[in-house]
Amino acid sequence: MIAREEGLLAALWSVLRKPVSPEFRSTFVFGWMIVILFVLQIVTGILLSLYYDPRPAAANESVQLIMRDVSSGWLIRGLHHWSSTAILILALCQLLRVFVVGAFRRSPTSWYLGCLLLVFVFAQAFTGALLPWDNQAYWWANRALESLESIPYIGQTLLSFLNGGPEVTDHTLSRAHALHVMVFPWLGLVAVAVNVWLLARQWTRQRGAER
Amino acid sequence: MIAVLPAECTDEQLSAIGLVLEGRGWTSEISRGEEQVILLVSGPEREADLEFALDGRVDADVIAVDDARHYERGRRNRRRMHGLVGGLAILVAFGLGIPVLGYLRAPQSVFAAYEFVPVSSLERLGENSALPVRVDSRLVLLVRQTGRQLYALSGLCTYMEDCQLEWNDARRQIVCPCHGGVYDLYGNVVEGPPSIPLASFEVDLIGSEIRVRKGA
Repeated sequence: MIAREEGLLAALWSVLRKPVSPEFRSTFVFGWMIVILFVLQIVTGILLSLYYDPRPAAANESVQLIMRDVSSGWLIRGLHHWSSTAILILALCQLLRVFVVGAFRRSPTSWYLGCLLLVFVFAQAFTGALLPWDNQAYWWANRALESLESIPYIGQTLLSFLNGGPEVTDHTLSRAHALHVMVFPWLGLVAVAVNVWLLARQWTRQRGAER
Repeated sequence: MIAVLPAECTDEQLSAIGLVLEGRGWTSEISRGEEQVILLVSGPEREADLEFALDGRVDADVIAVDDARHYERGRRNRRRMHGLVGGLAILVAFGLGIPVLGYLRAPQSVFAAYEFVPVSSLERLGENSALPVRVDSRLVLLVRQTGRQLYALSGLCTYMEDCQLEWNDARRQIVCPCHGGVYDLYGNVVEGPPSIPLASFEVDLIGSEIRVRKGA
């Protein structure tokens, strides 16, 4: 129903009170929030790459430059950092929702894609944390890669693949940078696109069936 | 309830819609105007269900109102809402766009490193001699070979950063008084404990004025 009064507040009220189809749930926002934050990640990531220098000797200095000298550099890096954390939390919420309400039964492909996306998100968070190449990043790499090593059978191979050597070296940074900038974002983009396409198809089919 | 449909709606479309509505237990009454077609619907279900039923068939604007006056009010409210949302979007775009524009500009510190600072003149620096000068609080050793051949090297030893280097006139080399490190005119280590050569800076000579670049 439309509020009887006029004005901006009445307009806002009429929109807020507009009934939506009972099929919608407020938990549906997780997926779209992830998509929006993913776009934010791409934009801020491109901006950061304008100043970031992946050479091991220069990496930390370039991050310092972004934080200290570049105008709004702290804002761009902060957005990139915190929205990645938000994506992690939202992705967990979304998967939990899909799991709990049993939505995975309706589209198993979409569920597996979601799980794969969570792996990408973790991989991005891990490789991204190495890029400042400071003490924290170095020890974080050491600890995380040591735990990877404990995976049976493939641990050693995986470790040497990620390290680029027997231990954390300059090659580790190069590999983390390559994966963070050139591999996982594209895989993630493809997975998100396929997922959105699958959901849209499912949605139109469902509505077609209702008519 | 009123559903406002575009005037381009054909009669076939309208009758198809009428059938859909009937199937759901609604009765509808069509009145065709010049700008739009108005569908007066009454039935048991909610406005969202009507919009849902029409969606995909026609670009319907469904509003739960009792008469045309309320519809006008609803449309006005909707226009205001569009304005509000659009305004907010523009605000956000500016709020993020301006910092991003600032971000794209290279920072002052990068520009500053390319600046040349006047430090001395040829008259004050004889041939085959050196002069310690300060470039932005950084100690730089200005060395003149012959004529207009000039070098600017870091004035601090690379072995221990607190040691200020000195020019040795007899050897024509740069020596460190602390641990006996010796560098040649180009900053390379000749003897002693240092392993890293001296950083060198670009020198610019305008007339007899000697200028040194701030960044290495």
